[in-house]
Amino acid sequence: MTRARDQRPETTSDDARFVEVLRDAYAPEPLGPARRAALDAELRERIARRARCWRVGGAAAAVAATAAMAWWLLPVSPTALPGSAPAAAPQRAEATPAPESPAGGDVEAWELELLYGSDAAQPDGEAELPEEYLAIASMLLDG
Amino acid sequence: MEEAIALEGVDASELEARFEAFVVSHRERARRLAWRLLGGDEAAADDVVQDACVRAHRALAGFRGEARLETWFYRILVRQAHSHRRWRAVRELWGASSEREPADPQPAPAGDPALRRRIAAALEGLTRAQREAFVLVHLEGFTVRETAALVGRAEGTVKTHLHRALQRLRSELADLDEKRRSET
Repeated sequence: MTRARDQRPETTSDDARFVEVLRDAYAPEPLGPARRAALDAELRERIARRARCWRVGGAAAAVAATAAMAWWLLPVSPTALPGSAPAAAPQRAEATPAPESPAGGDVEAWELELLYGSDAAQPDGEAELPEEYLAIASMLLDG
Repeated sequence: MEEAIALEGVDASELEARFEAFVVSHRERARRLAWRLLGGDEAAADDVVQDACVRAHRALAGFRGEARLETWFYRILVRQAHSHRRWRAVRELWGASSEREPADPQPAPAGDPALRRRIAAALEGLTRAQREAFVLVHLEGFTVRETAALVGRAEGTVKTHLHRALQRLRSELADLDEKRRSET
C-alpha cells in the first residue's frame, strides 16, 4: 500500500478538492446500449476491412514487385529506347577509314566525305597534320 | 486492476476472445480518457478509441508477453489522441473547420456544458506533456509510474508536468476554485 501511495502525486487537500471538481464536471456522458452496440459493430467492421485491405494490398504489392523485377532483368536494346541516337558514325579524330568500301572496290573521295565528313576524305593521314606538327614529327621520326 | 495476460502458449481464438473482453471492460475508461484529451469532442473520442482498438488488434500477434496489455493499449490511445489533435490543428489551419471549440453534441447534457467548455479551454492552454500528465493522473487515476510508462517520460518529469499543470489550471479557473470554497 505504501508503494501505491508513493505513486500518487503530492497534493494538498485544497488541490485534491479542486481536482475533484474538475473530474466531476469534465466527463462525457456514459455510453448508452444503442451507442455501445453501434460502436461494437463498427469496430468489427473496421477490423475486418483492415484485414481485407492487407490482403488486397499484399497481392498488389506482389504484382508490382514482379513487374519491376521483370523490367529490370529483361535485356533492353539501347536503340529501342526513345530518343536514342542511331548507331553513330566513327569520330573524326579516330583513325582514317580504309579506302576500300565494305562492298569492295576503291572508294572515291566524295564517298568518304559523304560517309565520314570532309576530314576523312584525305587518304593520307600525315597530310592531315598542320605544317608545324609535320616538322616536329619528321624531326622525331628521322632522328 | 492489473491485467497481465500470458500470451505465450495461447492460441489465436482464445487471444481474440480475451482481447474482445478487454475492449468491453476498458471501453468506457478509454473513451473518457480520449474525450478529456481531445477537449470534449465526443465524435473524435469515439473515433480515436476505435482506431486504437483496431491498431491494438492488428499488433496483437507481435505483442511482447512481458508488457501489460493495459499499458500497451492506453499508450496507443494517448498517441492516437495526440495524432488526432495534430490533424485537427492542420485542418483548422487550412480552414476545413471554422469551429475553434468542439461543439457539445449532447442534446440534453447533464452537468454544466459551459463549465465543460471552460475546463476544455483551460486544458488547451497547457502544453501537451502537462495536459497528458494531468488528465492521466488527476482525472483518470493512473499512478505516476503508469503515466510515465504511457507517455514515455521519466517519473520525475511527469511530476514536474503535474505540478505546473495544476498551478496553471488553478490560475485559469480561480473563480471556480473560489466558488467551490464559498459553497463548502
